[in-house]
Amino acid sequence: MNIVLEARNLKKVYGSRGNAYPALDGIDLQIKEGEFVGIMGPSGAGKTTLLNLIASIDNPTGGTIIIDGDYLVTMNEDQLADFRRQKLGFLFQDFNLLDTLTVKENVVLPLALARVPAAEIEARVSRMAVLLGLQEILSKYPYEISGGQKQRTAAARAIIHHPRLVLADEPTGALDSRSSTELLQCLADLNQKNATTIMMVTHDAFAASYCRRILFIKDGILFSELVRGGTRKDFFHKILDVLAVLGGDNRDFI
Amino acid sequence: MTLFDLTWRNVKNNFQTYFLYFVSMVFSILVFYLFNSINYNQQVTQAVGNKMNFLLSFGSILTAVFSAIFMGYSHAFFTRRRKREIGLYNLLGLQRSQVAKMLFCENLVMGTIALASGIFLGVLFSKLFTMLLLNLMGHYVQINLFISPRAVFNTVGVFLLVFLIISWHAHRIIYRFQLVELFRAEQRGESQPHGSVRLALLSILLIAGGYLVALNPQLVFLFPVYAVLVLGLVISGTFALFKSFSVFALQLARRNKQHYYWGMNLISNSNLLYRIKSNAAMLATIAVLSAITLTAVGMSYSLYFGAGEEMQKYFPFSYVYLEGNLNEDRQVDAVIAAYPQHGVRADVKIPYLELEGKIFGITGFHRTAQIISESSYLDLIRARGVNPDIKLKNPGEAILFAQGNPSNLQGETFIIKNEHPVTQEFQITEAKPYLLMNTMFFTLVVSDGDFAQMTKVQAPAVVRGILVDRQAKSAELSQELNQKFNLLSSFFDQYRWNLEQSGMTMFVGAFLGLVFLLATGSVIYFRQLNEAGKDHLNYIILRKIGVGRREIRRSISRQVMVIFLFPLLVGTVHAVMALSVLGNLLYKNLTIPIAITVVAYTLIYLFYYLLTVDSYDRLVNAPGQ
Repeated sequence: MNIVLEARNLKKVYGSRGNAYPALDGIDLQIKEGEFVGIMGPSGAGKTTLLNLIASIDNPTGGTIIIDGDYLVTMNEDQLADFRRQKLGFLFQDFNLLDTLTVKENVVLPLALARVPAAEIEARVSRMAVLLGLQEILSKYPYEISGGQKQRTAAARAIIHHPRLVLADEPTGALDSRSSTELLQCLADLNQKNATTIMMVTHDAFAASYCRRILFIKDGILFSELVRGGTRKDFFHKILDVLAVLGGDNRDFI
Repeated sequence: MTLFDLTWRNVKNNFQTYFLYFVSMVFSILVFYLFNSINYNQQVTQAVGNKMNFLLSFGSILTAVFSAIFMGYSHAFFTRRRKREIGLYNLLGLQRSQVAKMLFCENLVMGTIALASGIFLGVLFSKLFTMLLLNLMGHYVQINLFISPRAVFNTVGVFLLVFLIISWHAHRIIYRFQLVELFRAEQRGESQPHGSVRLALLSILLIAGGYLVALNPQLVFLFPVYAVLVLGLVISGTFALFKSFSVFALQLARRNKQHYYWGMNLISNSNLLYRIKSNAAMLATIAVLSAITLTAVGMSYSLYFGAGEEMQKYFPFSYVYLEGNLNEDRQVDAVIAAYPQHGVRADVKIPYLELEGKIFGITGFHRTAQIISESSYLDLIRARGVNPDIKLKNPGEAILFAQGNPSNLQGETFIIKNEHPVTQEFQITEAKPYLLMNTMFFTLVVSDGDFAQMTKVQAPAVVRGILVDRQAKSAELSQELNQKFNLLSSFFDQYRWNLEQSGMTMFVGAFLGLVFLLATGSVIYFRQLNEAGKDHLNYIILRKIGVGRREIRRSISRQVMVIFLFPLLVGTVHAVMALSVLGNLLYKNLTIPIAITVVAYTLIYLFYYLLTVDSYDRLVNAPGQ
């Protein structure tokens, strides 16, 4: 299997000298094609920092990131933008849909930006709509649909251009439990049926239990790793065990 | 911290936003002061008399009224934009009356600063601009630096009143806000406007109808009806155009998916579509204002630069008087001889008859005609060193020389009233758009035979025309002749009058145009920036999903371009239309003045456009966000 993402000795220091605060302190990780990897850890562990670095929204202080053979640190801003557009897909906690565009237009956006011919865009949108159950709401505006529908719209936007890697930042954070389950099932399906590579940051053990592999980070370093073997339920309990050891953020432990 | 500290802090912090508003406010005050100070300037009165008072007073009233509207609009807008801030003060325990007082003070502080700067700059530049005005009017006078207390008093009085009214209005808005409402986020995702095809078509029809009426010269005679009809149709059409046609056009652009789903077009189009509803009235107003400005400036410009050449056509001689006796002729000659720099180039005496008549083809078209013989025509032409280019073939024919565009009278018959016994009718075989002699506004050249017949019944008057060298500079000679003799016409007086009128009109027109331009430019500017503030998050999202800064900037440039270009384009088309109609009415070719005015206007607009794009871009696209 190809390696989609590789990070070596990744470091990020916030603040300046004398007042420096290391958010990431030498992280190594690899994600292979077709994986569904979760990143967990207590608040302030560096989850979001890691995601931002991989998303090329933020620059690392040290180390390298290679995505699909491209070295992120050597690219300039415009190249990075092109890179994000072509190779990454994003899912955010607060959806980040454009409120002046319809659901369909939001989904179409990455393809339009890549200047894909209109006929192909239409074809791909219909496929996405079926895949994520958006047929009924394609012509609605974001303010007219529910949170779960918004996040499925965002998911469609994240994968319509066949990115090499989908980055999800707490995608269930703003959803109720039913919508959460639906969305996670969707992501798991995409991962299994479409072989979409997904990296998801979450602090919710339930959400994490949909992943195939979980990396735990604490205080900026890799703490441990869990690979799903048996059922999702077993996996869920194992995750809880690790989190108990990890300590800190335990509000989702009930 | 006192309320005043808070006020002062607000004024300072909001300065960036208010900057252009402030600039146009200062400029309006400057112009108002300038017009007033010229009005009260003793030296100006000595040089040109009181001729300008009306136009300058009119100009300053227009400036004040327009500024009041502009400032009122801007202030209501700013206050609404600061809803949340006002709510916060409320929540922090400031009473409504205190917040109101604070805003009131803020406005007053800003107004006072603007007033002081405007008057200061006005005083500083009044000497320069006054001399410029006199120069335009053909007077070369050294003006002293001059502070007009009355002008200062008027300016302060008028604008303080305007500020008070506006501040009072802004302060009322606060009492109308509900606290909850103040914190409610700006309504997002308002429903997509629907373009009505019928209304879009209607807007085009209204404007086209207005143009058709405007182009119809017969209706000019019913001027009030004509003006109301044209303005009403065109202005209502313009508003409908911006309200519906713009939506229609944007939706049409969406139909072409290949274009719509192409790069940032999706974003630009929907940003425009969503805002068009709230922008339509503003853009239509700006289009109408631009049209008025362009027309006024273009008109005064052409009046000014047409002044010289037009004169030659209608005032071929320097001095014209009705022949009395030979003694008077000799006195006139003596006066002219005393000015060697004005040598006599031509000197002609011709007999003519002045008769009432009507033109057969056009019902009720009555005219007083001056009738001269063909040989007098040759005398007049040859005296001025011009070769004659027309000839009469038969008796009963006449050649017409008239002001304006008389060619439509060619082939018509001129019937002399009062049953003149000899020849009653003349057929106009040719019509020329210039005059043979000053004050002979409707001259018919008839054959010598016909003329001789007519003079048997009525004795002709004799008129003498003298053409001197350097007539445009013959102020002293003209004055002396005017004092001593009863001249029918003097080229120089007319020339100076034209220059004064048109120079004045151009001066006032140009300044008013600038006042309009600065104000409308800044309205577009701060509305666009307000939208940029609302769209800020969307652009962050776009950057996250991989749109480069350069691409975002390009998209912003295009989007803002539409906002600037649309009203400018509509305004220009209206103005070109208006000027060509006026050109026809005044028998002038206005192509060059139109072109120059449009180019100048566009350049200033371009500056505003670039400034807006830059600020917009910095707001949503700055590095480090």
